[in-house]
Amino acid sequence: MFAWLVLCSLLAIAQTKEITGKVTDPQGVPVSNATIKIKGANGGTSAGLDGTFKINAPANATLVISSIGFETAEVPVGESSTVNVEMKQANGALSEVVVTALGIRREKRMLTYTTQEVKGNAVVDAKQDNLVNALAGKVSGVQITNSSGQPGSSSQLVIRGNASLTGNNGALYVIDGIPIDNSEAGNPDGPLGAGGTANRAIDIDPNIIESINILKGAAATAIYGSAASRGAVIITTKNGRGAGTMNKPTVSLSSSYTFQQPLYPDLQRKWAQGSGGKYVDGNNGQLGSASWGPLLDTLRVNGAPVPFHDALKEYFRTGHTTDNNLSVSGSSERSNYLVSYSFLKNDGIVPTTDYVRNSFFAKYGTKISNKINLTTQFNYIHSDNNRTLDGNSLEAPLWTVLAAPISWNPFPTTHPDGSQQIYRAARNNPYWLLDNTGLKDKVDRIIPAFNLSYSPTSWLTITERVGGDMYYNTTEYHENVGTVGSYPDGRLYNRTIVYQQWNNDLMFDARKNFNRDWFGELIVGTNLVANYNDNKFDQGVGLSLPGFYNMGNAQTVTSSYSYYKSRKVGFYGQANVEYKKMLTLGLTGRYDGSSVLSSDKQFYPYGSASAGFIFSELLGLNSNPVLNFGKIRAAYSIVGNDAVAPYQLTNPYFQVNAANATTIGTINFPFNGQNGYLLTTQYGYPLKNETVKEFEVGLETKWFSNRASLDVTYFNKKSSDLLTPGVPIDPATGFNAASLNSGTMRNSGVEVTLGITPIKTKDVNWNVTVNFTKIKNEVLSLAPGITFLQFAGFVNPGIFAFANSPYGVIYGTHFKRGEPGSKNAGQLLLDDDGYPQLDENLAPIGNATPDWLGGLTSELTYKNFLFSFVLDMKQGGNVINFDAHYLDFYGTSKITENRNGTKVFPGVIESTGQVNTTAVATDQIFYQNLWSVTDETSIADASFLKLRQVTLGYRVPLPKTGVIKSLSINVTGTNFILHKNYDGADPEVSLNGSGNGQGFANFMTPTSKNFIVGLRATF
Amino acid sequence: MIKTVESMKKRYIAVLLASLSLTGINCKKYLDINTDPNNPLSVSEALVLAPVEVTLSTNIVGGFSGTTSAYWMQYLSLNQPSPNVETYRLLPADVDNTWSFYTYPNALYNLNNMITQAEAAGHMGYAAIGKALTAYTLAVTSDVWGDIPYSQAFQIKTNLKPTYDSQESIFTTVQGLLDSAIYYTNQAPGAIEPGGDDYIFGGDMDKWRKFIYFLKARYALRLTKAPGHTATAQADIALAALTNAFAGNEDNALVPYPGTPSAENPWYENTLPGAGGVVLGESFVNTLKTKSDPRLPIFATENNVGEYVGRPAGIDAVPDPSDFSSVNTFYGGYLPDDPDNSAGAAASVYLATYAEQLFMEAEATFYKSGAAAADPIYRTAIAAHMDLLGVAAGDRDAYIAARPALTDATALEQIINEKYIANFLNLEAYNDWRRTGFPVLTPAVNAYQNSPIPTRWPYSQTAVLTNPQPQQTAKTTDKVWWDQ
Repeated sequence: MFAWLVLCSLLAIAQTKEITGKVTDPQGVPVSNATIKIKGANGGTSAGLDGTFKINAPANATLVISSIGFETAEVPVGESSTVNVEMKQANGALSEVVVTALGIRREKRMLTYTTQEVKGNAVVDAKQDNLVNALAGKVSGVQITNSSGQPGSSSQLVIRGNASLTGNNGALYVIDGIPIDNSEAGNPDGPLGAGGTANRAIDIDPNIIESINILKGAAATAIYGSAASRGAVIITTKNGRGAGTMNKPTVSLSSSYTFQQPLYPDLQRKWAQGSGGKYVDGNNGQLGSASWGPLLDTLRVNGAPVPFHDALKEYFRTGHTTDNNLSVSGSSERSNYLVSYSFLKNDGIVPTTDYVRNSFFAKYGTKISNKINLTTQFNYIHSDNNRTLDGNSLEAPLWTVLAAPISWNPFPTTHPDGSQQIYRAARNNPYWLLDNTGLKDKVDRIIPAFNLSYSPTSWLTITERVGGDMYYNTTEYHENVGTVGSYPDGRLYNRTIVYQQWNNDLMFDARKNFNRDWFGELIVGTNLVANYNDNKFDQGVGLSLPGFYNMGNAQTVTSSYSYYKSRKVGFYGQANVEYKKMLTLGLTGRYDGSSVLSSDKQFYPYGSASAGFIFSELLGLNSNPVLNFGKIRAAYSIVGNDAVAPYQLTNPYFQVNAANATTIGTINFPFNGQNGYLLTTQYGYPLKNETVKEFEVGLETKWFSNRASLDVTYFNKKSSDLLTPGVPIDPATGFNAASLNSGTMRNSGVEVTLGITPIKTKDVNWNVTVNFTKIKNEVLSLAPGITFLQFAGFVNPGIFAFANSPYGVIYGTHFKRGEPGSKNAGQLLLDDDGYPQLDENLAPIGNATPDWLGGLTSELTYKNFLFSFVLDMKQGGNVINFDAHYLDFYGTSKITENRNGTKVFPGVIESTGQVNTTAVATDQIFYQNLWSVTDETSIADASFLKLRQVTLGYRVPLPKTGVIKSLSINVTGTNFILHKNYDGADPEVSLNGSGNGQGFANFMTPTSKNFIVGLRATF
Repeated sequence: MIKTVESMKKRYIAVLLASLSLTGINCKKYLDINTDPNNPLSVSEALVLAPVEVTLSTNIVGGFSGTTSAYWMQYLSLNQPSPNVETYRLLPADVDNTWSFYTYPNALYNLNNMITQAEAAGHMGYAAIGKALTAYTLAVTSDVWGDIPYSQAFQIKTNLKPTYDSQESIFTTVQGLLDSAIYYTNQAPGAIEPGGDDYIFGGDMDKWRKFIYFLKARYALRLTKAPGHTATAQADIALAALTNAFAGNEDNALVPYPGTPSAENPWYENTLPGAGGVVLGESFVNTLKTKSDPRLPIFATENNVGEYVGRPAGIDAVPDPSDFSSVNTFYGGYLPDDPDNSAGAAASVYLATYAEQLFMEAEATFYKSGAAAADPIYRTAIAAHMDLLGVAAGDRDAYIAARPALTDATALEQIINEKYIANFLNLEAYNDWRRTGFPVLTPAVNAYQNSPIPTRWPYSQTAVLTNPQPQQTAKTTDKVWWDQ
């Protein structure tokens, strides 16, 4: 018996032989880590980094070679002992590879959570200066809101609803595995009175992007750590592979030119300056704030008509943008490189404003040895932004531009005695402001990264990745002597921000195929983040020599300097098990420590568990003509978060200084020779981490041989122990606010992505993608005993969080209505004359949260022509257009054009209870004394349907052997508003920039509709 | 072969664990960097006293409290459409900054901490000034809000919702704090004394003592009509205190302003064009004109046609505010037409003047001894104010001679009417008007909801939100305890 076994095994051994070989792709590039198995038998091996493998196989065996992104190949073992395999790129749809957290590439079909990808080309084609705006309408579960039409303005991206009361609700941005900063430095005077600046994602040049993957839920980001508890935008840059041919450089050149046409709000253009129908001659020294005068066309002054001026249309100009990119890239078997330079210059629709960006990017990847890969990259950006102020301060030109009477001539802007030509007291001439005030924002930014991966064995890869994000941002502002405002003698300030972040990841990634059916992967890693930030602010008040803007020319100079350091440490692990490429189980765990939390609560653990099941495999539907792919997945995750600034745990004294936001009136210390400090007004309680718990379940299906796909996801996430600075407490305690963990919010919703390819022939290809998002947000509780919390706006109107309401309640004065439960519940209670009555008690009057969001992308190609467009729709949600509060009073808003009319207000007369039938005059007195002082009249519907972009492109047919390899020309239009219920120019506007107080608009520069002509060529 | 693989595996695992543990070394220490390097946890008393004094004069006396009192007492008028604060619309949101920033956290709590620190270190001068200013601030606060928290305040670790003390107990506390302050002025000063950081008196404890006695008299007279108090008893207390108070205008309590940019008098800021047209009130200007008061050109500027004209309270906004007279530079006003229009920026804010003291003495003497005894003091009081303003001696004497003699029937009205003029822009005018009913004022036209001149403030929005108390139902037409 024993002998027989030995004989058999000897025979078996004698029959197998050692096969060596190499796996490559059609370009000859090695396919590293490809799996080689023997068909019908257990066991297998993996190719090394260089694609070579060794396997013992029987003589008549067939080798099955598979790898992510390629069609599985079957190669019989012939006589030879060398088998070289060339693999074909897989049909995109089924074997999509996406980049997940930590830069790990995984097959989309095996993911247990939802992601959505936007290709780099789509980002470039959107023709936006700010990368965030380029994603609008393309991703479900995401809300993107632009702030202002000035060049270099910010935009906010929120994934799956606002989860933080006063902290950062924006997603984390990661480039090639390195997290980068996306903060908005903002204006030192605050957004209400001065508008904002750009968010830092604007520095990233769309031309270097290969793809962007949006990780929406906590399951996707649990391994990423706290910073990604609000979702992550994973950006992967191009690496030089893929385009062109091996060993030959590809030069690519693109250039486009944009014309920007401002979008104007509606204003009345019939009635001249004055009050009560009487003309006030603002052109000849009379002063009057309003346009309730006579009709302009019949007005005569000394027998002569008064010329018509449209202050709005005369102020703005057609904007121009030029955007150019030159890049060289290439690859060989062992290395790849990309060098790219872009120049963007946007001359905005407001005179004297512009945004210039120079971006330089270089990336080099090489195989140092067969087992070691090194990629180094370096991104340098320099940008300059010249802006005017937006918002509710006297130094913002738009106030006058929108409120100026049509009879007023703003020129010459200055009288012989030096005073400004203005039609009323307490305002500035807008052209005078353009000449005498200005904000200049400059950024120099470097993002270097190094990625070293070492594969000592075929199943283990060790990756060391270190990267930094460093920028130097200076903001300079000046107001000349003679500015009407708080500083009549002039003012200037310089702010310098230095930001440095270093991120280090060391990961061990072990992946192995266990027999035919099982695949396992284990990742263990450690992460270090160190953050340093300093802020220097100098303000000079009183210019000794008017018009000379240098700090040495200021009479009183105050300075402040502060720096901030924070650090994080993380240990993480992820385990994935796959069975027959059909069932996946995933587990993640992470243990974080953060320097900003109380020392006994600095470390906190969290993790996730998720599963995916491709039921179409089990049912053998792969070739089914109707449903050929179906997968369900479910995930539950917990993420801890430390989103609070450093140094919140103590109560220090602050020097009384504008930079510390503690001045006494306009007085800074040192004052009269003495320095001065006052105790902080915010009490710092001990802090621990926030927690987000999220449940997500989804269904992914593909139909009609991949001609259609439908993905539906439901999520429910609850964030608790929210880190909330600024919770009000009774000032009699000595502090008027406290920083503590309190508050819970819930976001739940549905994301649907539908893809259809209605036409797919040799010449014609038509793809349509539809996104739909519905998110329900509710603030469950605030701090104990606190029922509301303000985080933006004025005292009234303001943007608040109310318990048991969606986040973003707009709060202000309103008309008197019947109490709920009373006979006239909800009805207007009118006075005896039939007018509504102002109710002074502040109450919620609107909410910024939309009902649902949708987007549609269509791409139609016919031979060499391309026609595509992106529609973006937002339904529901309010914006308080606070311009109306002023313009209704001054009589320049459109609604005041009909000033001789009457209206019957629907409601009941309060004293009698009778239904109202009396018509009342809607005249100057009505608008000034009642309508404009009631905040609810400024609430507007922010719904819109926008054609984000429409493109017609032509790929010029070229001989294959020419110098020019490809050339395409396109014509694009962007930002067309197809439908809005909004009186202002664009309902997508926010005075708070990329901050939390969305839904508030006041004297913001309008956006523009744009026409772009561009070409792209590769050599 | 197998053995080698096994040991290699072991070696890999060992390396793995070693490198992970290396990165774990000193995690705690690596994260221990959360101490604020930018702002100190404690400072000397001098660094706190200076901004507290400026807060009192800029944000309270010259801030919203000052402008509101000035509009209601019709010293000033606001050329903006109604409803507004001039026409008696005052909402909890409007008074929020005063309660939530300036009074409790910035002034009272910082003073509280400064006194504690000074007493522990034996720096008696700071303890004295701290107690005096605390008493001053409490009185200013209670005058408009009635019942306010104090005895349960400043205990954040144990009490987030302090109950309110009655106004009566606040005024008792105020007198107690002033007595304690007097005690401290008489002690040896200790190692560190206030100096340049005390903008009011430069650290001179004698002057502080006189001012504290002045305040004792002022708050004693406040209670002439309070329940359980009589005018004569309060007059006794006041006169006793006044014997130790100011000796002349050189003792006035004031905060000086350099007038350079970012260091301007609050009334300068309040009368800038950007403030929306703050001008003089008609009843005040007309009173001065009727009596040919030589102080008129010092209080007021001429309007755009060279006349002295005040704006009737509450009328519709006129297009051009320079139709009316505005505040002149002695009291900090901004002058648009003057090439050196920043002279007002360097004006001082007066917390207490010798003139006011003499008027208090006249009133108290009247209660104790009748109109005839009060008459000479009354005249000296008017002279003291005119001297402060720099009125020529001849004009001053002529005006005083023209004042009718005090009679028992009209003395109070006569005294308070003249005190009203001397107390231009001072918070005391509003207190005297509520207490005595003088000067007689006609409410503004277009009064919000037909309200009479308000007699108190509503509680602040933050106070109502964070700490509901029964007193918070008070309306602006309710009267505070001493206002009977």
